[in-house]
Amino acid sequence: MDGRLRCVIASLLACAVAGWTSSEGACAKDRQPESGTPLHTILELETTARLLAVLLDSGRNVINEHQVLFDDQEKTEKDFTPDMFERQLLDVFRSRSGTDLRDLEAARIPARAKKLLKELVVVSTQVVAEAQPEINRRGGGLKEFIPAIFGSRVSTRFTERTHVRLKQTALAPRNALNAPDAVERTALETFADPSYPLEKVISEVTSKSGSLHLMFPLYTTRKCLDCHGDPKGELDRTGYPREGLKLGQNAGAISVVIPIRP
Amino acid sequence: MKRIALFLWVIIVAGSSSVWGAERIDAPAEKPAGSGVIVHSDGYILTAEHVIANAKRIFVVTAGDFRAPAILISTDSEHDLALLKIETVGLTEAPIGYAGAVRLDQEIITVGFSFGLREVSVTRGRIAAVRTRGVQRVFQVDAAINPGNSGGAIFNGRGEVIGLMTSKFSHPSGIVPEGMAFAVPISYATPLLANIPDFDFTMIGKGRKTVKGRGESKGLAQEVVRTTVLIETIRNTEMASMPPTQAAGGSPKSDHPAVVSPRIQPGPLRDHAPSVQDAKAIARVNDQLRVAQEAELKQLVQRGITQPEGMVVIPAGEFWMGAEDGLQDARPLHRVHLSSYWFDKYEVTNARYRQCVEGGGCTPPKDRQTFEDPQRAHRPVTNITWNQARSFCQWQGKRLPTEAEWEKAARGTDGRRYPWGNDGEFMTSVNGVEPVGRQASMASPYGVFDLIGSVSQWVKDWYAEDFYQTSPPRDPQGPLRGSFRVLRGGEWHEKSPNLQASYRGWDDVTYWGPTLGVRCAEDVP
Repeated sequence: MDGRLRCVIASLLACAVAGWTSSEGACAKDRQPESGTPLHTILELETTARLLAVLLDSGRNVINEHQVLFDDQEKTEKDFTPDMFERQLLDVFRSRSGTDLRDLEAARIPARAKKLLKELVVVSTQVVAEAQPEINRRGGGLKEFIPAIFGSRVSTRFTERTHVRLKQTALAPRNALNAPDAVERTALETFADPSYPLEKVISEVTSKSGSLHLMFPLYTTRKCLDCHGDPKGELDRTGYPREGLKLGQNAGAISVVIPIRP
Repeated sequence: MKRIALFLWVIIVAGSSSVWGAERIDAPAEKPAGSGVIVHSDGYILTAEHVIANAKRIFVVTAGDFRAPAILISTDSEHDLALLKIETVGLTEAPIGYAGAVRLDQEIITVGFSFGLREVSVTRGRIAAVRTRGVQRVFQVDAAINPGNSGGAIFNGRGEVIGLMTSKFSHPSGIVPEGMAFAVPISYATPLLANIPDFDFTMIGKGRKTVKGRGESKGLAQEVVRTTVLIETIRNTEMASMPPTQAAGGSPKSDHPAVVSPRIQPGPLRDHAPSVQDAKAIARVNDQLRVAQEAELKQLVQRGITQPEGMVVIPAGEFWMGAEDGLQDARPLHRVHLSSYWFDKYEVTNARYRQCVEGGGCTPPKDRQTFEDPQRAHRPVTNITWNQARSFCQWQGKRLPTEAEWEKAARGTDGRRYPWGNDGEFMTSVNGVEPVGRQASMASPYGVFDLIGSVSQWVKDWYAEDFYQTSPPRDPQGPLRGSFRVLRGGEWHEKSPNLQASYRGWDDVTYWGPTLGVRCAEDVP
């Protein structure tokens, strides 16, 4: 009970930060009445945002699976082709979401989601294609092409091309560009509470913002521990101090911002 | 005045709701009150659960000093909703709206008894935001809401209830932002409304029944006010509210002889001092399970079905799954009935996995060195993803076991902690991954080896932290979708309590590592 309340308060904090100044009552008057977006549109946007987050995370999954291959010192032809990546990406996404992007026509998802998901597949595959020299480079130790780097490259390009903002964020990100904004920070603090239910997204759409903001939580899996686990503070293989994360702990989130009007 | 006489007032006498805790007003007579809305003329009132939480008694006070006791029909603490009933008929009921038609920015009316004052307040506002936490949605309302409005309804322009005020932000600093409150969409109340014998669900979203009298716009405010109520409760200060224990009722009766009552396992004390009685009980159950298993096998042989090599049969019947004192995701302890199935006696070894690779059914494990080491031929195969694990089982004409099948094979039917009983000290220390089938003393009562303290094994199910709370009682298959697949069997380097048979691990579908393996299951025809 106590934990639940704490959650509620934490989430409400988010609302406060988001709308503190504007919700003082004045703004309601200036707006034209009944300009609102119907709830079913909001729900469609939320589904779209969630699917985009799952697709980006599925790409990260695939990169994770092959990380050791990339790091192989001897091989120069890693056979991790963009085609193979795309195939695996679609497989992982299908199993996680139930949506087969190979047969978009038949998929029972919002029309806008179809367009955006298709674009995200294209962008993800492009990023892998462009990383080929990096992946296949002989020696040189570890490769930079890791899930987080893949994710941020894809996010940046996708945001440029679609006006839907994708971003990976965490309370203490290694990449300063991934630092959370106020809304993200509050959601991340909510996720960080161990009593917050696993895998439950937080989203909000306000009439003021004109967009839906969804936060999709990410968790520390066994693979993450190699670099982000214990002993805390000790440098990992890339030279960053380890965060001391524990298995299953929240590790950040994928942040998706979709404008209500396409 | 007459209008006011129609109100039913419900006042929280001893408010201890922590949502309001920070802003409670210490007026001796008028305490913050909760509101409610009449949803059926026979005295059914919908309110927020936190308004009546911990209440020993709930009263309804009408303006004419008539005080009617209310009974709690049903609650939904997840969505903060409760349904009350008072013994009366002929109340004015509020029509229920369709929450799906709500629009952002839509004008709404909130009604409630702010601060428990005996004057009802009607406030106009808008839907300022729609928020989602997990799967639950809330409407953020920018009308001025005060303590006491909790449980009151928000109405749309047609006077239909579209939500119920639930909580308001209160900041530790004490500053309470104006115009920010939250309402639960009325659609979440459907299960509660189903408790009303003749509730007409076809009327949802159809608007108000024709109202006698004219002056529509004025009439609306009057109508919504007529259906809003105020209630009084006396709190149970001593007893903390305990969630109702989930009854295992409804599950089919076991056709298995060896289901014994669940042991309520207290703290780790038991680990250090397992009683002789406990050991005797375990031995008795072990005997029963073996007898049942032999009987099942005999029956199958008579039907001309032979035991697949390296597998044991787990007879149909119920078992205790999960743990009451375990980690959050292993709760509650619940009864599950499984049909009979074959289960691999040992984890899949490198040697067996090699056959699949050579036969073209499997891709090699991700770490070839470990896999190809001849010294490790009889150790469990590791470094395989969930997909590789599944491919292996399919290639053998088998399948991955479900989480429930793994657990029953591991701990039998009596809810024990470990395959061999409840004694944690008993665990032989294992240094790394050993060849399979070495630790006979750690085998389960069904004769399955290396369930605990070897490698984790992929199972079929998606992971969901709260799945046990909604799990079907027969042959559960796990959630439909997810991000992670379940791993069962405490890995050798794990510490207690992650070595218990009820422990649920999980990881990315694409993960592979030195502590992850597989074993397979198969349906008994």
